[in-house]
Amino acid sequence: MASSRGGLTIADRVIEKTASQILKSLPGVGGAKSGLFGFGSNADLDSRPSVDVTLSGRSCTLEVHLGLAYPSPITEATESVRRRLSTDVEALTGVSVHQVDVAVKWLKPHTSGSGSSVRHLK
Amino acid sequence: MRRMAAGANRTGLIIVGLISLGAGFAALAISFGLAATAAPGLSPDAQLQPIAAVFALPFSAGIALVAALILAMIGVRWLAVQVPRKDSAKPLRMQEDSRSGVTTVTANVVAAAVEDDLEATPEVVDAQAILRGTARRPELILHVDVDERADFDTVVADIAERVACNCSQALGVPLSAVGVEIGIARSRQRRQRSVQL
Repeated sequence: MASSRGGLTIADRVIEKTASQILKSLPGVGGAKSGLFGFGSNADLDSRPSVDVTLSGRSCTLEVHLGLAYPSPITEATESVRRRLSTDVEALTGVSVHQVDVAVKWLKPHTSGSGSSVRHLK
Repeated sequence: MRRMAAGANRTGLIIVGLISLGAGFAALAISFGLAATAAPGLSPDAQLQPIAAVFALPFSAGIALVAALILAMIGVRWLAVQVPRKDSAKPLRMQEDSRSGVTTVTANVVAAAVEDDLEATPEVVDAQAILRGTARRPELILHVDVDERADFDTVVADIAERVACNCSQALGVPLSAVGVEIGIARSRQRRQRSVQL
């Protein structure tokens, strides 16, 4: 009997971290580097987006806070995020993803990053 | 860039004007003795004491206080409306099918990206953007401060060909309107101090 071999419990934090790590691997998707008590945090395409999970039985709803590369189409990028999370989270954790709500927190142009006071000669 | 309360002011002035007009006609009617037929006692030489006695109620002070509070609230509301406002778009919902989840992005997020994009334009010193409208019909309002020696045509062309197109591409729909206001940056503190080769 399978129950005699013990049970497997997956905490919601595990699903959050898993989803967050999946998102980090996607190009053009980023999070925010956390600062001290929320101060000094800054948007970064190399950081992991934050994910909140709400478990309901063996399925879950994900709420993702992320940033995207600008000017990539927001709808296409977030649909890609949704598809990827739906398949990979279930494959890795066994918990099916019911819905993925995405809140885009920032859009970062590819050209930003250099100091605004510094101009390039053309 | 920011919307003023012209409509609210016009409405308020119309209401005040109509009330003043009504009071003026009433005063004229009383002074010419026309009101005496409708309200006996309102003749030009009548004593107002009987009318005043009607309002001398035990709770007259309370009524006056409530009326004063209502007038004060109207006044505060009017003052609040006078503050220029951005009227940014409400958070944009961009998903095709909400059963699989919703995607939201605020107008400020898009506006900040557009501002960063604008400031990448050579000769643009500072920029502000406001996104109005809806997800299907977005409108972009821009204010750019450019260097005093800048070529305006180049700046406007760059906004039309690159900045507006980038915003449209990100939102996935064409912009229904783009407004551009150009200012001149004369401040010495904003002058470029270095160049990267």
